[in-house]
Amino acid sequence: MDIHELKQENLDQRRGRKKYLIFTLGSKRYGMPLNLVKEVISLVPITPIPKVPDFYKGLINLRGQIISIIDLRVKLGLKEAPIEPKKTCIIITHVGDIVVGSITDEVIEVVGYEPEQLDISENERVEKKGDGVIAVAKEKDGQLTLIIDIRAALENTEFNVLKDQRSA
Amino acid sequence: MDIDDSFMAELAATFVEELEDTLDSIENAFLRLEKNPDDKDVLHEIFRYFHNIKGSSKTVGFTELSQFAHIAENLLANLRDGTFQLNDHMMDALLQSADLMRAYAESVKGGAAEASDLEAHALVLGGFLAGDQTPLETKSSAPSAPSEPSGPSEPEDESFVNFSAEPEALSKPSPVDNIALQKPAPREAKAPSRPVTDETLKVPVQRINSILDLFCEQVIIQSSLDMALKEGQWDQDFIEKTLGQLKKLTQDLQHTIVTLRMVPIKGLLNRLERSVRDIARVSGKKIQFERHGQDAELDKNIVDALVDPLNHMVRNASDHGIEDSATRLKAGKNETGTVRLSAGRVGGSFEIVLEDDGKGLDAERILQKAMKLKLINESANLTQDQIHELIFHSGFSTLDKATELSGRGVGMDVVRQQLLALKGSCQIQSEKGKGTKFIIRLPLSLAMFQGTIVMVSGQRYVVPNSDFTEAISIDEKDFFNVSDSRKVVKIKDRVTRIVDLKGQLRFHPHELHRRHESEGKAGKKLAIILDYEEEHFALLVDDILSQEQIVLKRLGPEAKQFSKASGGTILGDGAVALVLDVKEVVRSVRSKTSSMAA
Repeated sequence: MDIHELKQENLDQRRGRKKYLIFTLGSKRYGMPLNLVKEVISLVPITPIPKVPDFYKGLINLRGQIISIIDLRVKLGLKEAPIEPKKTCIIITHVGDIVVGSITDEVIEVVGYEPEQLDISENERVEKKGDGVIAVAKEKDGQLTLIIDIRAALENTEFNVLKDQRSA
Repeated sequence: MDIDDSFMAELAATFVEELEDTLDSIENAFLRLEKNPDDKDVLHEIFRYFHNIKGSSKTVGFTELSQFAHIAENLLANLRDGTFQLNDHMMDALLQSADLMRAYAESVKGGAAEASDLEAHALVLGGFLAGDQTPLETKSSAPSAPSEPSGPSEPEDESFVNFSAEPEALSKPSPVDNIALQKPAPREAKAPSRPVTDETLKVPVQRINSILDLFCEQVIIQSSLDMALKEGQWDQDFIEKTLGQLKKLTQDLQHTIVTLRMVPIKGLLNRLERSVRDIARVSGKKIQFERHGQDAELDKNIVDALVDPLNHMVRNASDHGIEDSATRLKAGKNETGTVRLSAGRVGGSFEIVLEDDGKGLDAERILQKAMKLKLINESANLTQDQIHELIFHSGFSTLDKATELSGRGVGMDVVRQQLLALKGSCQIQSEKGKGTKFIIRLPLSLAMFQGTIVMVSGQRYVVPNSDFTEAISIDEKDFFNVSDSRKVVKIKDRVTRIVDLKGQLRFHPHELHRRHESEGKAGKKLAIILDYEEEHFALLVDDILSQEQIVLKRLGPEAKQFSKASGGTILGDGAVALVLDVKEVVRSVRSKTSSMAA
């Protein structure tokens, strides 16, 4: 990171501007706070686990470490679509002490949003739907981007352990 | 003084580790001393250990321990200088000191230093110093404190309670004698109270060096690949050669890394020898402990987990197996009984043979007892070995009254359970009048084991070889429906219950439909056979692919939702496979059907 970037980062923080990793599920744009993201990898073979909820896709080998993969599409109640291996990415995030990968259709970019671009009043919605959407960002072109916190998305699921981990 | 708490806690943790090592050495030295009571060198060695403990424990604030070590040191100094003659009582008391200090170390690890036993025992040691050659408390070998932690009410005892006044017999005042030895009453609370959780391991530097060397090799191979790719100078030959190098390297790395967790079993054997000695002392028998292969190495976790079961077995052998001198002489045996432990690698596993030349198992009595307990049928026709196997049954003990020494409420069934949990096995051979022999086989490392890769519903699973007895092919026509949920087949004259793994390893409903097609093939089925609590099971699989050395990897807590996997592994092609806990599979099948019946 050069001096310029550092300055920008500093400035961003002072302004309350945060960075998000933008990806798509179906035709919708989603964002995830960048500080939660550990890395992004391309699709690798997933070993399914018997008798677990359907959004829990299974396990992959991440450089010798075995980690769990969830399908965000299924988790968010979107229609399941055939996976396009060339575009599909797995976003690896830390959730408490554990590492979880989320399957997304395509990872687009990293953007910073000004606080005024974010509508957090949607917050109550989270309780109802449990889909982990913590805010909605308005793009300059009028498009909407749903900001997801993977921890919140997994909170009220059978991934109870995650909840325990988080509150612990 | 404003020393950072976490710094002190760290110091304490290091100290406790060192203390435990020192205690191992102390115990070992005491046992040598006992065989050779006149060996002043050993006495001096022990003296130094205590001296070190005294100094270092004081530095990190464990005053109680320091004071205790001081008293013990004084006693040892007198023994070394010949002022006192070592007798059995002293020996016991000194050995017990090591036990109590170990307990103290445990209590520090647990977060709350507990020194009351040490203080009580200091009185006993103090008694010797006062010239009393038989201690205050002689009989019990248990580390129970003298019943009266008598306050300074009795004048003649006061000095020891306070640890302060040096008795006359203490001829050689060492420069440290004037530590303020007040009774450390509520000071304990001050001792670092954070539990010491981070386990550490002593590793020979040589091993770390060789890992570094291998790592450097790997970097070189990487850059040679890099270069070849950049310059376009690669062909089949080059790739094959480089890959060959890489494979070799990976193998070496794996082996070296696995050895990092390996520790010699010497410490374990010291403890066992100690147990034999204690039993011999208390029971008045003459028993020697022979050890072979004490430098053999085994995964630290396994060594730790072996302490309890082996200790139990060694105690059994000494207490129940070895006869008293008179009986032995009458039977024409050597007066001194022998408990022998040999350990070492045998092929891909680790073997421990524990044998005694005692009276052996009494098949007749085992049979009677087993019938009384209704473990077997009166008409059952069992071979000698099958009869011996009965002692592994829960609730079984031929001694009608368990003695204080070996019968601590744990039977051989617990021993076997503990060994099974380590993926080990235990065999028994015994001849009446000649002795008993246990053969224990263990994996070299918990992280690695021999496993069989099976296919179920298009997925590969690993079953540890130690979890099943055989893999066979059975014909579906031989299946017999006992009820809707229960099918059996006769294998080698044993009624074996069939469990279709496909049913146990179903995916969520969406995928269920898709994975149904392989159902069609009737006829021959492959199955793996295992016994679980006296019932025989055949687990049907679609295919058996290969046997491989499996490196066990832990799964995150989120994967525990599926309880039938004990972990995962990464197969040769880089894909993840679950390691099945077949015992758990069978257990859940059993509990499900029994709850249905209820």
